[in-house]
Amino acid sequence: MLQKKNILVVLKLDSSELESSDLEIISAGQLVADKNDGSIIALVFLDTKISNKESLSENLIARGVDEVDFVSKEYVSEHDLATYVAPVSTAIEEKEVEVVLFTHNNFGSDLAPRIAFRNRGAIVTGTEGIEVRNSGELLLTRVCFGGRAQQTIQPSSSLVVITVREKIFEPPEKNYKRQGKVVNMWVDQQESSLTLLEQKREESKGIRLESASVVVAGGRGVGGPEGFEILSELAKCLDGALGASRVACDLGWVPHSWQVGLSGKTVSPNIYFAVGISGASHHLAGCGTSKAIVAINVDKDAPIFSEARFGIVGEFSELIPALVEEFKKNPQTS
Amino acid sequence: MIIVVCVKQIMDPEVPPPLFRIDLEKKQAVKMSGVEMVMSPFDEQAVEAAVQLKEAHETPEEVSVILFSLGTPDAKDMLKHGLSMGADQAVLISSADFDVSDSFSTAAVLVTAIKNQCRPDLILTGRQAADFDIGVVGIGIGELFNWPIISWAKALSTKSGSVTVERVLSDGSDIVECDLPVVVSIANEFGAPRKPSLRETMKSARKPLTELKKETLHQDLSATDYLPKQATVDLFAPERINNCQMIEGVSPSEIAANLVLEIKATKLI
Repeated sequence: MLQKKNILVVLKLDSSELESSDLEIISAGQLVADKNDGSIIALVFLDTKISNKESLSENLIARGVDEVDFVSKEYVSEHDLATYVAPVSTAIEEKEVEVVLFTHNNFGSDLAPRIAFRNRGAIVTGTEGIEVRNSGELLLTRVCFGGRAQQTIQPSSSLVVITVREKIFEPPEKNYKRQGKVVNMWVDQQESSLTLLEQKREESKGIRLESASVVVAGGRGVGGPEGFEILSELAKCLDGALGASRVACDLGWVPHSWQVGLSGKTVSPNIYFAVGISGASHHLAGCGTSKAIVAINVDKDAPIFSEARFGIVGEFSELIPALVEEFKKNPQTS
Repeated sequence: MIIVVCVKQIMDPEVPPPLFRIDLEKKQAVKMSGVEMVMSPFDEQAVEAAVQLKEAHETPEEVSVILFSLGTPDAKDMLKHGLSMGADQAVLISSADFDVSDSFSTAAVLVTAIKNQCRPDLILTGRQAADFDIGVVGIGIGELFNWPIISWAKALSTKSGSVTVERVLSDGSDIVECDLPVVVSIANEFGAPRKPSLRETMKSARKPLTELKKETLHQDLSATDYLPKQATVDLFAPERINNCQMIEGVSPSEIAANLVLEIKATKLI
């Protein structure tokens, strides 16, 4: 017997633009809402500087949200996600929520478990697939063992908290004829037990890794920071972003924010150049959904070749400059 | 000061593909011969963090690092490794005694055991276990204790009554300070854990390693909601099909020309 299940999608917006990941979790929520006739409620934590709430809520409703609840970020502390727990828990209780969805990023993977444990719900992280059986059972799939195995989970609790991997679900279609409700939520000022001493932010030079259509990534085989200089020439001529394996980051060759993989970023570009990267599962978990992987490695037995579309066994220090020359002969437009 | 570190024994995550098998019936990874059981690498970094805090303390002899693990009897070897790194004591709770098939029950049983055995000031965990990669037990422990939780520490230090943590974000880091007691999960940016010296390994043989009996926790657990909230209904390792087109040529420029031709044909750029 189908039960009414309301779905809560939790968003934290830093600007008035919705990210693709924000839209992707609405899609994920629709898979449940469509089967169970539930409403999709978006709980949106919003910067006080953002003034065009109207176009934001219009956009969310057009994408499938039935109710938009705005919470001003002045009531919480961004550096302490514990301050987000009470507002989200209140929404879960008041709106009869049975499924809560977050993006699997810094925000979601920290806040979601807090919400699950506080409200005694099941927690499933890094979800890639959602299925609602006719009997009403929810089945969630995710990868584990560094990306080598796939797991299907059936929650048994009445509250299920899910973090959704990026670039798996497609954003929903827009339908501006849809109607929806907009609410400005009042919450108590949340006190934080953390004192923020300092914030260090890396200058984002050039194209963001997560949204680039071409990524040039280097691993142990690149040998050091100088190797990445060679890769940057290729990235530049293709309007791409630079990425790295965990090893290259741990060795200090490049910033940690360049890390692609299970404990780094998930990217899904059109072309992913994996240079000097062996292809360990935890790295593939971060780039496996790329449309095409081009692997360049001196080791013909490297596991990366079984995931790649094109492979070259050879020295990157000779091949990359040759590729740059070849691409420059025929300028590409992304 | 008491620092608790929660550690998990897993199959070596670097096991080569031919040795990685899943038992479809039992829904777990199969330990093939030649495969080692190890401490989950992120948990090893948490042990390293705890030992560094002890060594940096004004009075290291007043700091006690206690390892807790929920596992099978062979996890004792993994705990001895932690003791060899510099931890002072270890406690093993038998996973066969309880239904701990999900993160919720794991966290609940660990919390019950910790409360039964000591009063920690700081609890450290790895950011996720390198088998199921779920990453919630550390946060869950903090929630069940009702303590502040700081995730993904790349650096931390303590001074009387408080901890300062630099935590990793996708575009940099935040440095925060908090009064103890606190739960902190350690990120892989923390740095490589030490390899135990022979001296420390010999010392570790004399350090207490307790196996908690089910009866010890039975009463505490009967008053707690600790049962799992989900079940794994399927677990399998998808086959890898090799569809890679190798690009060749007599010189780097010829190979490059061939590759660019192929890439252009895909119309992806």
